[in-house]
Amino acid sequence: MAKPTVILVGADKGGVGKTTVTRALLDYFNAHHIQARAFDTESPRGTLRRFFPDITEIVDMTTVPDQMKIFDTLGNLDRQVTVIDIRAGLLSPTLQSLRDIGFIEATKKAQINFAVFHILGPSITSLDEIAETASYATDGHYFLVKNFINNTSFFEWDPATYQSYFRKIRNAVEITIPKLDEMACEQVEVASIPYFSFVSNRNAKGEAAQYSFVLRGYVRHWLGQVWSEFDRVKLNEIVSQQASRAA
Amino acid sequence: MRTPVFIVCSPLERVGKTMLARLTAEFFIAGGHPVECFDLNAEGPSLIDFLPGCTTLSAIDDTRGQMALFDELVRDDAVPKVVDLGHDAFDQFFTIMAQVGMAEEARWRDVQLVVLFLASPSSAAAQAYATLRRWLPGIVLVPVYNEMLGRAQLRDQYPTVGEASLPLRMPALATGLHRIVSHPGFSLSEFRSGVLREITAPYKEELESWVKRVFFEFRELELRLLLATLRLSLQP
Repeated sequence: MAKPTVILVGADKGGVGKTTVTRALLDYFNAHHIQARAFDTESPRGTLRRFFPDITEIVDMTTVPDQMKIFDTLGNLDRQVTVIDIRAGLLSPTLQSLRDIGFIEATKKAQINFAVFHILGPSITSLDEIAETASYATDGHYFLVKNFINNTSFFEWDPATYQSYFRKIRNAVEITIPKLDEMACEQVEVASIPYFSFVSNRNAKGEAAQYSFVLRGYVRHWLGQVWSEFDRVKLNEIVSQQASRAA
Repeated sequence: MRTPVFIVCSPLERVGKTMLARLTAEFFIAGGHPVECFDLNAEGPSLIDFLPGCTTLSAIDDTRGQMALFDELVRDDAVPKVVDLGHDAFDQFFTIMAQVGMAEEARWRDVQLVVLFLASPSSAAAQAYATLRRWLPGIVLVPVYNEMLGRAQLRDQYPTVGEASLPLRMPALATGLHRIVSHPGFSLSEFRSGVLREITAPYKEELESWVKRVFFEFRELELRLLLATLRLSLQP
């Protein structure tokens, strides 16, 4: 029996493409027939829910009732994976709360698979958050996600700076999300559907749509590259890890 | 019958791309079929100068331009399409084509993609041909020998796969006639219908014979494509 998996997707700055990555993750799990549920913490309106209305609930992570809604139901066998799209700026406070409620301890005891997808912004401030965030994920999986939403280079042009941030944390694994064509990105936003549905030329009701072949092609190509990254870090295996006999 | 889309190309300039694109379009016009042409030449004279009534000037520098062209090329509307691909757009065109999965989409929509590649002794052209063979497996890639450039033996540099991809010959045309035919505004359709009276014998007979030989090559290609489609449909 697979252990429940909790994936936090967060960033300390807004506008770095956090929800983009969450959407790609949910599409990945769907394509691999892994049952997942999602929590959208952009309460009250939400940003993720309109793309995955059937599996997403909007919550306020700062309130105890909503924390209970998420973490008290982790043993729900119908949904193997729980993805939480953390509101910008709340990644560190959320991790602190998880430590306070004993969640981090549970991951140490191998009762839960835990992964943090830390979406990086193109600023030193964002990179400064790496060390603090990594400290919460020592018994889990810590992914540093470089999301190329613009032409940022994440300081690759300055090896000293790059090494000081990206090579300092031993358990950190880098994931690269390439840039998606802007028009393609906007078209999917307007359609309010998962990337995979857009590629399949289906609208929100599952009916045949008339999206541009070129834009669908760009999204298909981009999604393939993103999923290749997820395959490279063995995400499928991580979420399928069996519960230990002792637990 | 699948909707044919002909992409006339070479990474080199001045090898006869626009002439071949014109001849391809004129072949369908002569058969009474409508045809849509797309001109991707940065510099003229180009296809739009010879067939302005059925040619759209296209550019693929931005996403909007790419959508306007490629979305149209995969439309299964039974209207043959001809792309005159300028040498400077060669790399970008095929990169986009590979990236957006055009070959797969065309197969799914019953559109027949045919790349007419102007062969030449240049190693750059041979390399580009080999690259296309790798990038676009399963696509009909036809080397075209333009005998106006000479009768070099190039078959080793331009290997073909399958009967549909057998080489096409573009016969040589006398220099004087070539100059007339290459003048912007000259219409082969009007010539064939007898509207152009300024071309007199023996030029008229020579040009008629030349057009007949070119159209014979296209008819053979059309039959090979049809046979290939039939064979595919008979496979279990």
